[in-house]
Amino acid sequence: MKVTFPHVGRMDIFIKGMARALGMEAVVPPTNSKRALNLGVRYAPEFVCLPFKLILGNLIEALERGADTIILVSDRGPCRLGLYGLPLQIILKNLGYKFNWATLDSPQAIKSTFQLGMIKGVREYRDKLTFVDALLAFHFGWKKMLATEEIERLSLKIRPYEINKGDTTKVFYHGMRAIEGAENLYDLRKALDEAIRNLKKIPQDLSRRPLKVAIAGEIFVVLDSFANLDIEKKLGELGCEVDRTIWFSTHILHHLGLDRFMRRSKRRAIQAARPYLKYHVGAECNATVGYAILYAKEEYDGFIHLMPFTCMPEFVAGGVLTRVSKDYCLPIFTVELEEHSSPTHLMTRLEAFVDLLRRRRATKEQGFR
Amino acid sequence: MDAYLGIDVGSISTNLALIDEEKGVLAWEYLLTGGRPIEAVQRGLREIEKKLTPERLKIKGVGSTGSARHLTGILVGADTVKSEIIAHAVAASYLIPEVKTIFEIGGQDSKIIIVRDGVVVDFAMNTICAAGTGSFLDHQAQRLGVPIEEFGDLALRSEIPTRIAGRCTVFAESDMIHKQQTGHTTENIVAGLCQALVRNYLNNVGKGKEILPPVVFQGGVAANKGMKAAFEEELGYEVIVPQYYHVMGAIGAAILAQETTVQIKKTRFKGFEVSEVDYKTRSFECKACPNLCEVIEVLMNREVISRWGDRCGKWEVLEK
Repeated sequence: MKVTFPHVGRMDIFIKGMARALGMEAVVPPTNSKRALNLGVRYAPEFVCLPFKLILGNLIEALERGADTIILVSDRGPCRLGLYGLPLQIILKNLGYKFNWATLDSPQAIKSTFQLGMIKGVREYRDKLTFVDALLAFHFGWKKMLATEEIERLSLKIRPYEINKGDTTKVFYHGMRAIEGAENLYDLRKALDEAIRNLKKIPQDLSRRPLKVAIAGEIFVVLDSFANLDIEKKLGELGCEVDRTIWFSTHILHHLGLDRFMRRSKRRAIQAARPYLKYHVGAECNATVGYAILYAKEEYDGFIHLMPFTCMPEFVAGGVLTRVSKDYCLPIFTVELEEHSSPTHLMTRLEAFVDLLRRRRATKEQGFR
Repeated sequence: MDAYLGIDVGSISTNLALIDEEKGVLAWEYLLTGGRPIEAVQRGLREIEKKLTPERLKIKGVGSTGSARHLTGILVGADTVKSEIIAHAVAASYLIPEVKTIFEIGGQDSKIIIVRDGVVVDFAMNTICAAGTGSFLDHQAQRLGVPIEEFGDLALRSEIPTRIAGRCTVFAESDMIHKQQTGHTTENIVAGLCQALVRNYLNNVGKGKEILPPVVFQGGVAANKGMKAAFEEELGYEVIVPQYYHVMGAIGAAILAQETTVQIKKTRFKGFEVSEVDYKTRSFECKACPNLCEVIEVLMNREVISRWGDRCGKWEVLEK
């Protein structure tokens, strides 16, 4: 059995780490690229959102590489993601691929899939799977994923200070590769420490005062740098210290109900959005609105709202955000992403937005004097 | 005399403006880009040079803006490279200090800029749809056999503007043809088209924005009196078209250059001689990964001086 799954942020590192500890084989689709996108666009319905197209592209590329079992992590609407499973299966079957399919959209589905499929799959490689083995494997994968998030967070902090444009990105990717290649906890620790050391060694101009910008929106486009056209790198190089609201780990912790004590948790964001949204709209809509309020209260300079073109929940959020922007005096910029989005188009708007923030800050400071 | 140069290279037109220390416009130039931004900038520089005696003129700072701002910046040695949104806002709030809303409609894009107390607080640019831009008006004028310069006056002569479906320019065109076939006069159709474009602009670009007077209308399309009248009718108050409505981006870039040179002291301007230097651009596809990035190279006298267009930063090394 060769398991595969579409990319969602750094989930691949988690699953690959887990599979490695179990001695299993996982076919990771190549990272999102123009080819994956083109495949997705060719076979997906025209008006479906960008994540669907990229997921389809990932699955085709994984099947080309010999995967035979597809796992899709999903939920049950009201966002279209809840319905992704069926059309994806139909499209792939029509293309002539043969595969087993499992949609993980509820605790029951996860349980039965793991009991029937995964354990059987593992048995092909090992005679016996003990509970301890599984736990250790999970722990290793989780740690690995956290390590990548840690250096990514650090890179977001350092990038606006870098003296040579592009340094941070290079060092960050180098560290990522080292962490990805780690075979055990000891190597992982070493790779992480070295990556952090290297990032801190980047020549920085600490006299700069970067603008503070938060990014929120639909989870897939927030997590995936290919889908959001490297918006974090672009903002960082324009002199913004970016804080991303969604990480793979925070998303999982939220769903497990373990984010109760985190300062900027999705739970708090949803509560903060209550005055504007009294019921759950779906996907990240309520959280997006709430995050804008939370970050406005922390005196952030600006807020970027990412959404795939035609995304229903985020479209609702966008409407509410115009009110939030006025009520809290927080400049909010909504970016709609689709396969036709061009990096230059985005860059013009981002440059203007950052200029707006910078001039706004300058007048504010003059006013205080 | 000290002067500051602003260059705005857009999709349709390339504009240059020269301002003095007091931000008075000394000279301006408006030419068509024609898809060749480098040549247009060089031509513009030669024209500006002709109009003034460069010996008596000292360029203290240069700013570039517009969709070719980065390329232009490298070409002439700009001190500041800013997006057109900021450039337009800066120019408008200098010329009309109390401005609260700016409508800018250019060749390929249209934007709305909300200004409060001289500071940009919000903006929007057309994203998914190009309806209502200069290119479309140009195309329709041609189809109706009306010279674009007379388009506005013709619209003003209309008594009963024809209702035209303006949500999508493709459908607007077929609707126009249909109205023509059923006997509507050209001036009524032209006036109706202006109204449709104004509705489209306010509903799409101006969606959710707080539009307050004074409103300044600039960009190439502001030359069209029919559009100005249609805006005024829809909003119910006067819309100001500034004297230099068509080169506002360049004026803004020049003002921004003046602001920057206060901090940096010495300009990076390469001089009017750049109009004689042999510049070329070329592109290639990087095949190192499946992203197949299209990398653009700028060559000065056959030497690569800059590269961009790659996602990973592998080729970007030369950019200063």
